[in-house]
Amino acid sequence: MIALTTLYENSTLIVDTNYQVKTFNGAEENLVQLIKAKNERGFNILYDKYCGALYGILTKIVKRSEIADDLLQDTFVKIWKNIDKYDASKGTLFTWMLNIARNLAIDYLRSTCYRHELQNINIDFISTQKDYNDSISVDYNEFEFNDFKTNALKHLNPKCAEVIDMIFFFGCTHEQAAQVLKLPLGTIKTRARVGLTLLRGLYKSG
Amino acid sequence: MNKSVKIDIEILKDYCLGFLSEKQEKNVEIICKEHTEVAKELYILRSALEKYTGNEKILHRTKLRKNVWKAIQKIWKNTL
Repeated sequence: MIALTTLYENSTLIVDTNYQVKTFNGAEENLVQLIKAKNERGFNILYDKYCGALYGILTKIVKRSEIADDLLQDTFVKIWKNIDKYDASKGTLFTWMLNIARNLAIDYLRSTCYRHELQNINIDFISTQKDYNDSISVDYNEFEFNDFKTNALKHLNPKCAEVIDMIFFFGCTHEQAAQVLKLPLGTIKTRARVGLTLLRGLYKSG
Repeated sequence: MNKSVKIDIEILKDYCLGFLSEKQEKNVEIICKEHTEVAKELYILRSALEKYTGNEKILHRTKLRKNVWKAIQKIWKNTL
């Protein structure tokens, strides 16, 4: 195997004999060890690195920020409790955590609690949400935004807004955003560029 | 933008979006120092992005972070 280049701190790109590129991530192994040792620094690193992406997938599924807050807490608790079950040979830590978050969000939607809540929401609201669900990831009514963002959301293609929010609002890396939104990295970049073009126009006209 | 400067606005967008390599970023920064019109365009792009994101980043929500850590500690203590 040939180590190509240092990508991030303690992370190296490896090309194996079949020319398959793999990432050897020493930093991730260290992080897993810290969490296994129930180390607070481990929590802080884990939270800073992945909270945005996990929060992104939760809001994408449950659509509401206060529910996503609770589920984010449950996700980290579950990660903390089950870290010994994580097997690096089966996938990255991020993918494993993403599945935990996704399953918790789906469980919530299947729960009696959620069904009771739905009964208390009027029909008009539900039909509006249904139209929105296919095209937008976050229920923006749950957040209070500045005037510029409120105006921008009226003009931005929801698919572009989704990508920009994943990166700049939730703090995902481009790769995390691609994984959460299940899109190729190229599409993530294209949508971000289109979104930024519109934001530039709005900024200049404002 | 002045066409005599050999830099595309798309490169500036990629700079703001974090899509460039470290070497490419340094090149953009050098060109910005030499050409104020490029620096001005970069400033507009960055300002638009910053105005859009504001201070609302999820990572800035310290209460959420504290709650998560408290929940973890509670579970951990219960399992000891």
